[in-house]
Formats: sequence, structure tokens, C-alpha cells
Amino acid sequence: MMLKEESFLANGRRQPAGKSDQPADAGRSPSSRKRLAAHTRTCLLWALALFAAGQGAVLIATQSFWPHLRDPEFGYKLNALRQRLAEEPDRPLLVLLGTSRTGQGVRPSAMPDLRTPDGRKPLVFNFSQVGSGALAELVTLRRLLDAGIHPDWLAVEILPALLGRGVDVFDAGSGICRLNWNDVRQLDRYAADPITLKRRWLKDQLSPWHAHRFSFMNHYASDCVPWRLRLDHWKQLDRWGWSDIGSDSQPLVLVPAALEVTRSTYFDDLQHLQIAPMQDRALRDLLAICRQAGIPALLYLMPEGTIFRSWYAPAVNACINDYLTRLSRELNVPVVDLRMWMEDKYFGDSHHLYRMGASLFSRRFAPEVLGCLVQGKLEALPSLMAPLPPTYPQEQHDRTPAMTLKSRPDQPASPTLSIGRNKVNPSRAGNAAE
Amino acid sequence: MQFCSQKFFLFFLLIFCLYWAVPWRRVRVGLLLAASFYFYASWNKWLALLICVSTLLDYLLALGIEHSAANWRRKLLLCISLFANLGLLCYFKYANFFLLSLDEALIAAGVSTWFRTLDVLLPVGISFYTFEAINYMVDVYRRRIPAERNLGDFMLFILFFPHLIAGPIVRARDFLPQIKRPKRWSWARMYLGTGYFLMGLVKKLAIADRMAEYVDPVFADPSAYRGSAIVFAAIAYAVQIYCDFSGYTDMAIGTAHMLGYKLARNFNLPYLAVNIADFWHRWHISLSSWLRDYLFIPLGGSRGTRWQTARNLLITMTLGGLWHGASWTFVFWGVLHGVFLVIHRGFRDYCKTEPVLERFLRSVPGTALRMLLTFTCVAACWVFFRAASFETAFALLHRVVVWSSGLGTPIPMLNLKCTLVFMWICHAVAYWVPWRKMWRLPAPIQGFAYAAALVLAQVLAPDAGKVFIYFQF
Repeated sequence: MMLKEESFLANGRRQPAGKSDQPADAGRSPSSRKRLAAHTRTCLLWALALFAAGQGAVLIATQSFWPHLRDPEFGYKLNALRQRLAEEPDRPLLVLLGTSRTGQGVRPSAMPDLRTPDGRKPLVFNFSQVGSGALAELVTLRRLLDAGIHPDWLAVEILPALLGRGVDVFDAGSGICRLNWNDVRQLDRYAADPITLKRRWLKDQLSPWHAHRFSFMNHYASDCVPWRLRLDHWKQLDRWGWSDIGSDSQPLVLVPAALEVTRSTYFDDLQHLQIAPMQDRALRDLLAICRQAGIPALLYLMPEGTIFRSWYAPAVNACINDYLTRLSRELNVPVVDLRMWMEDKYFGDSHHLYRMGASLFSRRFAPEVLGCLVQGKLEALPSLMAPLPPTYPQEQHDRTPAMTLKSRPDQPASPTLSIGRNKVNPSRAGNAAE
Repeated sequence: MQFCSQKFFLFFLLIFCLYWAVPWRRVRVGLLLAASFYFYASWNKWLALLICVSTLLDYLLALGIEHSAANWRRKLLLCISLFANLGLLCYFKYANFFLLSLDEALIAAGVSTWFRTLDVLLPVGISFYTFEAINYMVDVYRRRIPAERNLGDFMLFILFFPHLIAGPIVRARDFLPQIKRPKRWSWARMYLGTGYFLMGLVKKLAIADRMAEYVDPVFADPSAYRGSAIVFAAIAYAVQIYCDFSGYTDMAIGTAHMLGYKLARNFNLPYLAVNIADFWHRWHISLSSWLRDYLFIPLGGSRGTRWQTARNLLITMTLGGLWHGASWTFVFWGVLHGVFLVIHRGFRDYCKTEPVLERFLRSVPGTALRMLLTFTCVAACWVFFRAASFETAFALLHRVVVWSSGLGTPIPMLNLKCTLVFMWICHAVAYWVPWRKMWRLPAPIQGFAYAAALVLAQVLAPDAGKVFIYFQF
């Protein structure tokens, strides 16, 4: 693959050595030289214009028309949720936020019908996203509210191992290109270095083809993506946001390779975890938004296998339990610990449920946990990490006492949040008021 | 600073604008010199100083050679220069290799040793600029070119950033006159340079780095993969190293064109070679011609007996292998190519006595067969070039020959198939379609092709940029 430059530069005549840096149009007549210069200049200008237009088009598309290309999992789940709401506009909405554990483990279609005290059947939607810590869950909730979707109840998964991480999925690696400008402005106060965050985001916007390349490849040529970069699980979402991976005939065995990946991902966290101020702040802000928007919420810990649970260092376990208990007491939010709910055989890697496990878990999770939430009978919740005061959820606490956490001195532990610009759906807001 | 990094784009944009904004030749040379120094110092500023010192020494010695009438003095000055250049190369690149090899040999012989490896950092591109300095000194000694009197011009010849790190190895007689000549802005040259640069970018990001996804896991753990996966990995490596190195060269040629310089051609469709000698006329042309002019011919070339020619070929290719890296696998790779060259010469002579065989080999099926055989030999040799050790290389070849079971390719085959088809189309276009016909296409179509190439490189770029393979040499 070699450009035949000699013919291009000098009308087919090979140039002698040492004369080769002569202007490219040397040896041509003046009129031919002028034509060549004009032609090549036009070609280059066209190239520049088309390239810039291409970048601009993708930037506009990903930021406005096709958010699923920017953040596929969010985009596809949002579309699916909108379709469900359009099909059944009168049903109240219960949204689950969480990680891939919830994504694969909570199957709304397998749940028995839930009933509100007035007899309505809530629509349960699994809006979990892979790798979501508290910050990603907060971003998701804000995006939902911005999109005019106001859940009537919210169930938020806590993955204990992520509580110690100083960065979240959006802040790490190429995750930043999943954000829009609103997200970036809101994440500003959670980032260790807000200027760098903004700079990285802006850099991505200058070359959106490059920034979103894995999303494009996963969409249109996933076979060309190496396994480790393959993130196309959103292709297997069912109508209620559940990641339909695997089959019912799948053998229920622990996969050593998958377990090793899990171990390398979480073991260190579970040995030395300390609650990260950023995660704490994000979780408190998420709950504060729920309070301000009148969305009853609960926190839950998904089931884990024996092996995974054995990785918790005793001190870490105590730290997590202590943190969640205090959080529950201080914010009057129920925290349900379901880590022991499922047998080991239902996990492939000791923390993601197989399809069959997901169905079993969902059948129990719906009536015992989500049912209590929608009926307002929170005192009946099983496996509560802290008993709830009788006033819940009517009492709206704005006070969030400082905890024994290191936080940035320039940022208050309990900021005042505004959701005024959120386009809250009035009918759903009405539901929430009920 | 990699050619395919944003940092380089900004750096080049700045230099490009300044370069064409100033009208004076001397200022332009100074600007390019400063830019080249900064470019190299971005890796290591002390090693950048080291090149400057070594270049200054060569500059002075060349002037000394030119001013000396006595032959013995000229020879002495040349020897000092060769000793200094090769001494630096040996110290930085080969000292630890030789020490470790000696250590292992003595331990194998039952002798206790006290050798300790040296804590040295390999200056990037040292093999390339050492050969450039040597060709200049030898040419001055042979009175083929006059010694350069202007230090700035001479330093730019060695330090010119497009070719500094991984070639092409430029000849003083080609490059120094270019520095002297005033440069005139040319849209045609810009267009050509941009085309080269984009082609290199696509080769590197869209092909070479993607092929690495097949190659790296297999070469890291050969025992885990089945025979077919290893064969595909070897083919993928042949594609990877070609696109990586020729991609770098294209980017170097492109940037040089945009600054008004022309660098030597380094590749000419090497995998279409019909025999191993033809392959070396098409692969890394600047190195193979250097080895021919400054090693093979001084050794006697092919003027002596058949055995002498074979010896010269083996010596040249073995040293060529060692030039690539301080490891016995590189040496073995060079020896293998030397052996293939010797066999080819013998077979060529045999064919002259067998007209029927020669006619068949020159026919279309015969040519296709020769291409396939040459590619197979080259790809098999690449296994030794890529493998970290002989154990790995032989384990790979053993699993192919015995056809062992194991894992399949690390990523789906579709990627490799698409790449091979794309490569074949590009080769066919480059081979059969006259370039002039292509540039006569309407401007929007050509502009679209350029923009599409850039977008393709952006979209297919891997998650983390890989260093060019030849940077280690």
C-alpha cells in the first residue's frame, strides 16, 4: 500500500534522487500547476469540512436524538420504560436502581402482582445499570426526573464493595463519555478534580466518533470487539429492563473463570474497605431528592454466595453494617439485607444470579420487600438492618447529621438540592402524594 | 510522543503553522531542529542531549576526514567515529544481552560468575540514527559526499523528528541537499502528505492495533490455544507488524512532505513478494539497502564463489537480525532469513537448468504459489521475531505441527477475515489502479475518502494506544 507519488508529483516521470523535495507541481505547465493546486486545495477543504460535519452530527445526535448511542444501557432502558408507561399510563411506577446484580437478578415479569392499598397494580421496572455505585444511581434518578418520569417508589441497591471506591462508573476510564452536560455539571461536586472531569468531558466532545467508538462497535459490529470490551448486554434486555442472559436449561454450577474475575474485581475492596465520602454524599443526595420529590425509597443489598461473603474482612463487614445502620437511622430509610437469601447453586460467580435464581428471587422479593414498600408497611420488611421509627415515611428530614467520614472541607456533607428544573409528571407526582 | 496521539497532533500543528509562517530558510531549519529536540526530549531529555553530543562528534570527525589528505588519518578518524557510534549502540542496546549470555554460558560450563546487569535505559531510535550517522561518515570517507559545514543542517539530518525514532533510514546524499533548498508552499504536496499520514493512521489504529488482539494473548500463553488459533495469530502478526511499521513510515513520510521534505520509500507491497530476495527488496527498504551497501558489498557481496556469497548473506542477515533487538530470537530470525536467501540463490541457479520448471514458476499459478510459499516462510520467521523466547516460539510451532486442541482465537474470526479482505483490496488497488486516475476523481469524493479514513481510524482505534513495534529497536 504505497501511494505512487512519483507519478502524482511529476507527471509520471520518476524524479532523480536529491531533487525529490522540489515542489510537487514541478515539471508541470503553469496552467496545469494552477489546476492541480486548486484541485488539491478543494479536496483538502472538502475533507476538513466533511470531517467537521461528521463530528458535529455525531455530537448532536448523541447529546440529543440518540442518547442510546452515548449511554446504551440508559438509553434502551429509558425507551423501554417509556413504552411500558405509554401502554399502561394509569399504573403507578416502581423503579429499581442498582448494579448488574439487580440487572440480572430482579425479573419483574416473574413477580407476582403487587397491590397498592387502593388496589392499583404498580408497574415494576428494573432500571439498574452495570457497575452503578451510588453516584451512577443518583445520575440515573436525575436523568429520569429530567425526562419527565417520576417514579412513585424507588428501590435502590447498595453493592457494599462499591461503597469504598472513590470513583464511579462514569468517572472511570471511558465512562465519562456517557455523560451529558447536565450530568457533568451535577457531578462537579462529587469529582476529586472537577476541572479535570470537565476537561476530559470536553475533550471527548471534540471527537465524538472516537469517544463513542465502543458504543458504535457494540451496536453495529460487536463481533469485532474484543471480549473484554464487549458491553452489549443491553441487547438482551426484556420489556421490564431485566438482563435476559442465559437460559433455564443452563447448568447451575459455579464457573471458576467467572469467580476469578469476581474475586479480582472485589476481593481487595472487601479486605480494606472504608466508606468513600463521595459515595456517602451521593447516596445521601439521592435520598434527599427522593424526599423532596415525595418518592418513598428503600435500600437493599442483593443476595451473595457463600464464597463472596467469605471475602468480607470482619472489620469491613462491621464498617458496612455500621454505616448502613446509621444511614438508615439518620435518614429514616429502610435498609434491607438480602445477602443470605439465595443458595449458592443459583450463582454463576457467587454474586450474579442465574436466570432460574433470578425468577426464584423475584418471586420472593416482590411480595416480601417491594410489596411492603408499595403498601407503606415498612415495619413488616424482613432483614432490616435497623428498626424504623413509626413516623416513616411521613416525616421529611432535611437534617443529615455529619458522620465520622472524611469529606472535602469545601463541600458540605448535606447540600441543599434543587429539583426545580426537573419536569416532574404531575399525574405521577399526584400518585406520589397519595 | 506517538504519531497517533493528540499530543503529537497539537505539536505538529504548531510547528507546521510556525514553519510556513516564517519565510527565512535558516529560521525554518532552526525551528525544525528545536522541534526535533523537543520531540525526542519528551521521552528523555538526557538521551536527547546524548544524541546531540554524538552528532556533534560526527560533525567534527567528518570535517576532519575531509580536511585530511593522509589516508591513515582519514581511516583513523573514521574508526573513531565508528567506534563511538557502535560503542554507544552496543552499550545501550547490547551490553546487558552480552553479559547475560556470557553469564548463562559460564554457568552452563560450571563456572561461577559475578556479572551484574547494567542499569541502562535504551534510547529510542538509537539503531536508526546510528546507521544514519555511519552512512554519512562512510560516504564522506569514500568522498561520495562532501562533509557538511553547517552544524545546524547536519543536526537536522540526524534529528529530523519524522524519521528520528523508527526511520526510514535516510541517506545524507539524499537529505542534506533538501535542507539547503528553499521550500515553497504547495497544496499538492500538502494533499499528498495528508494522504500518507491518514493512510499510516488507518494502518496503525484500524489494523495493526486490532490485530494485536489476536496476537498478544496467543503469544503470551501458547499452551492454551489450539493449532488453528496459533496459525491465525501468526498470520495476524504478519499483518500487524507490516501495518504497524509501514503505518509509522507512512506517517513519517506524510509529516515530512507537509514540511517540504521527502523521505525514502520503505515498503513496496512486501507480501506480494515472489521469493525471499524479492521480499527484502520490498520490506524495510531503507535498512536492506543500507545492509547491502555498507555490509554485504564491503564483505565481498556476490562477487566471490558460491560459498563466499552464502557466507556474506548469512553474516549480513544475522547482523541484520541482531540490529533488530538484543535477543537470540532476533538473531535466529536473521539467520533463518539468511538461510532462506542462500536456498533461494541455489534454487534459482537450479531453475536455470530446468526450463519447464522455470516456465511454470513464471506462470500465473506458479507466481501465486511462489507468493504463498514466500509469505508462509516469512510468517513462520515472524514467530521467532515476536516470541519472547525460543521455548515460546517452539511451543507455538509444535502446537501447529501436532495440531493440538485448546481455545479458539481470542476474538471472533470475523475481524481477521474483514481485515484480510480489506488488505487484499488495498493491495489490489495499489498494484493495479494508477494513482493519477484516483486523484482525478471529483474533489468532494476525494475529500470524503480522506474524512472517512480519519473517522475509520478514530472508530477502530483500540482502548489504549499501543507503542509502535519498531520503537523498541
